[in-house]
Amino acid sequence: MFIPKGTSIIINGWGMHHDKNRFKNPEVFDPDHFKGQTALAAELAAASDYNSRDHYGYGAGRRICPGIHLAERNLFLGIAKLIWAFDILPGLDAQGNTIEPDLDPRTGYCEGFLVCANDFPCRIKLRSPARRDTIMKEYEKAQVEVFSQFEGDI
Amino acid sequence: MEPGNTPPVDIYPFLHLVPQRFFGNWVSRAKDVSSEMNKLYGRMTVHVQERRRKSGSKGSFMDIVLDQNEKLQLNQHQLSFLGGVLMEGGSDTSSAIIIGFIHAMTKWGDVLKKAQAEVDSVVGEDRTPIWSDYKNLPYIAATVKEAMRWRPATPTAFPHQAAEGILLPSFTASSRFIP
Repeated sequence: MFIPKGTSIIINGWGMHHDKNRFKNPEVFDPDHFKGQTALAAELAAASDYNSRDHYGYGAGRRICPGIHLAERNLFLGIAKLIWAFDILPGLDAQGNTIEPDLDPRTGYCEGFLVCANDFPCRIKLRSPARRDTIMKEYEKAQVEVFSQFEGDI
Repeated sequence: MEPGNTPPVDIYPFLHLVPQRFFGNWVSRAKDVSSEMNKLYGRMTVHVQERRRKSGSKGSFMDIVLDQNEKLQLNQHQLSFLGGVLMEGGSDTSSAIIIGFIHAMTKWGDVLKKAQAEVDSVVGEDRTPIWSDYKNLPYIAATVKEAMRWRPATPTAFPHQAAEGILLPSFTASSRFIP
């Protein structure tokens, strides 16, 4: 196949992420889809063999997300801290029954170029009072050492 | 900046010929967004510049840029958009992935339990995980990759354009491409 100069090319990231031949049960959220693959996205994006890439969440090629290094660290810290701190449970209706989450990308997510989940019910609970103290202690430290340097009326 | 509202002409230039009212009045909306971006980013850049006048460079990204602006020669608009677009590009994308992760955890509680068991074996209650824990938390590293795979924030990424004609010998005409 020949792609002429000037052709617009859309990367079908969704299609590759949900390819049954690549990821078994692609609709299931299962970190074992990446079992043993802990190299960072920036490293894998530069691999000569595209089969060894993890995902296309940062795009591809010369125009790959320039924030890939920052984002990967940011996401790891954000998600690891949430896992460390909180239990995450489905929402309950007025009778106290579990509400089945709407994970359907067509109805549970917004449309457009940047896609995000619509508002959904959930319960987020601190795992222990000791963890609460640690969060507050680290927040105060960050406030003093970092945020205070940059804050002010914008 | 609302990437979700990217005017369709950015992807299919011929749509320029279609009146804007058929695409949610994108010309007017883009102009409104432009004005909002100019105001917000402009204000933040001035904030950094005033802070520097009062207390010098604090080592932030914009400080590092401004420290060498005699050499870089970026004008006020370029400075505003360098900082502003980086800030916006790195906020709603990451937040969409984290929200998707929380969404998934309302369904797959066993994944969360497994991840908690991993973090508890490495990090005590007296501190939260930090970057140097990465190598000891492979299941959580995989959870981040899975969040990006399962509900990517930009499922079609930005469209690219072929700078040169490319021959792809391994592909035959197939449903993989929409011509």
